Amino acid sequence: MTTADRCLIALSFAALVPLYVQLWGRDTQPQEARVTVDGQEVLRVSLFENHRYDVKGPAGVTVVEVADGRVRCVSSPGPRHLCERAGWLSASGDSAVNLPNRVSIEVLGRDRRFDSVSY
Amino acid sequence: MRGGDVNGIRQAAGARELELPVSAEDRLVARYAALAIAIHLIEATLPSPLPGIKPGLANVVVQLVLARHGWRAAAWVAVLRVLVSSLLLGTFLSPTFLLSAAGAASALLVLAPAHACGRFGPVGLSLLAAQAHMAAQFTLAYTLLIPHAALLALLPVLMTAAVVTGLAGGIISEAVQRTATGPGR
Amino acid sequence: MRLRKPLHGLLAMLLACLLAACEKPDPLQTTRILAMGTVIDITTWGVSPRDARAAFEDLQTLFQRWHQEWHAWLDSPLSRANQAFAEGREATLTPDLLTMLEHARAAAHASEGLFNPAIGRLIELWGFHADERPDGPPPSQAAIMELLRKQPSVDDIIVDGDRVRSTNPAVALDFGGLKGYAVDRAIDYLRAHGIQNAIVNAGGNLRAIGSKGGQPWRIGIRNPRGPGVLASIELSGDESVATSGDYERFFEWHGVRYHHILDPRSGFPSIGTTAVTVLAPTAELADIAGKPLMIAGPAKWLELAHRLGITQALRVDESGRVEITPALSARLKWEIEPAPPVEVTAAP
Repeated sequence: MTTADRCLIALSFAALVPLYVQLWGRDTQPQEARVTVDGQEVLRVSLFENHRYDVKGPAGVTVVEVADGRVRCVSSPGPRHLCERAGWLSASGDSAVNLPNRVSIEVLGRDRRFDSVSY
Repeated sequence: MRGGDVNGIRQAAGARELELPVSAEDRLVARYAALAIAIHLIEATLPSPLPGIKPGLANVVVQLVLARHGWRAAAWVAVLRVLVSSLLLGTFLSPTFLLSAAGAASALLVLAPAHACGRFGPVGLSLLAAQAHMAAQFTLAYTLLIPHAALLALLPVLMTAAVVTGLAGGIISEAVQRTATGPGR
Repeated sequence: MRLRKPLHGLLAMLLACLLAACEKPDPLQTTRILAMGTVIDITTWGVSPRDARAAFEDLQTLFQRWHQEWHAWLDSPLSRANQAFAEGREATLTPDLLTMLEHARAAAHASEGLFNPAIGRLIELWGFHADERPDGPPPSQAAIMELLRKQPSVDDIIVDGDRVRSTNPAVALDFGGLKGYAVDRAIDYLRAHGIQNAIVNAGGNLRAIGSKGGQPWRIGIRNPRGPGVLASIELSGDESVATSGDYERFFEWHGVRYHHILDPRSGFPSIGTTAVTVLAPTAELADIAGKPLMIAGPAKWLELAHRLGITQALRVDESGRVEITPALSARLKWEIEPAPPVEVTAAP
């Protein structure tokens, strides 16, 4: 074994540490989404089971779609369709809300980049 | 190997109808490649703890050729190993084959300068090759085959496996190179 | 092949570690309440899931009660007072509403009328009192002018104990700091119940207390143009952040965008500023300060911030350029690439 070999072995193992820290120490990937109506959880779904859900609220039905690790609001009652405009949600903490129907869709995850957002 | 590219393959596959001149190096490469392919096939039958992880002992043969006969010969053995193994296993041009080919190509690319600089022994070279192999496979898998972030969580495990198998392969290579004589001698 | 066994062991060990990490209850507990016409997110740290859930349920009840008590348009003590103002009668306000009235009066004086909580009728005319205003024509210039001519002001309101009346029938209260006030009250509630590390965020107006086990809270400031976050800031101890922006509530008509922050001088949406973010000791002050700072525009906003006691603020203009006070600049981190053009400016 040459000196260069020894250095390389040490370097190879050392390089694994940041790799674990980076990919395991932080949150890996959001797994679940939570849908609430008026603050009550009505649905908790895996982001990897593609499906459409009809969520009933006081103003009608909000259609929630899960596909390929993402979730979105397909249609919802109300004049402005802000929920649909939020588009696909995939990162921890992403969310969309339909106020008229009291429906909120959130992507859950341990590691949110921000604890809260001022908007 | 000049002009013997096609011969090499045919010879290895056992084609005899065409009598083309076969150099000593061709025979050498063919024998090593046959050994690597045999090991590859045995490994393929073993269950793997995780897709993408296997001992990679076929690479010990490549390391041996690299040490004894240089990079060109080692490259031939590696290419033949990937190609012929895939044909025998029926995975030719499948994703498995692409991953295998990308890994082997990347390992060869890294080995060329590492071998040329002369500072690394079998252990270092094996380690570099294993990591290059895994990095290329992963990149290909992540970008083309399964572009899903969940795969990233596997990367640390896969790279650890690469380091461990690369190191083990290197130690075996070193032991083999110290003691045994190759099939070509 | 002897290699495979140790590899199995290693993998099993790593997977076990991963699973163990997943089984610990998350010290962060979050909930979302839809109340007061907005989204309220509450986060606690170091509180057991059960205790957190109990606190969240109480807060849900509280926010709904506040929504009913403080609503300027549905039947509430506040809307009854507004009705009484229009008819020249006396009305009774709750202690909370009286406190908000006093704070609003002080801010109206400090901002020389740029913050005007008495223009409820103007907000109603524009339709911004509804949760979601549909696209449609803006009110006529004549209707706006007629309201402005009546010069509704908080100084028209006479307070006698808990009794209030207005000398000007055009006065209708619509407190700008309502959400912020609710956030402060929610924080009071959490503290009284032994929760010392939390964030309450009502419609982007938030207050953070304590920390995440010694780590500061990380707060994003929304990018007013485009998705995601413009900048981030770390909060610990007890601080509030509020952002006012032209993107929060708006409607479009014939290609023109009308947002909800109305300039009491013109009666039209304010111009020249896209968003203002303010740090303050209380969520109510941060919430109150945002709107007049947006209305004040490039020439006057720093001076007004100074008068309101705000030392940490930033303003984004219509071209995306950022003006920021030195105190905020020192602790802010840009989260967009490339960072926007920034000018650090102190109050004159």
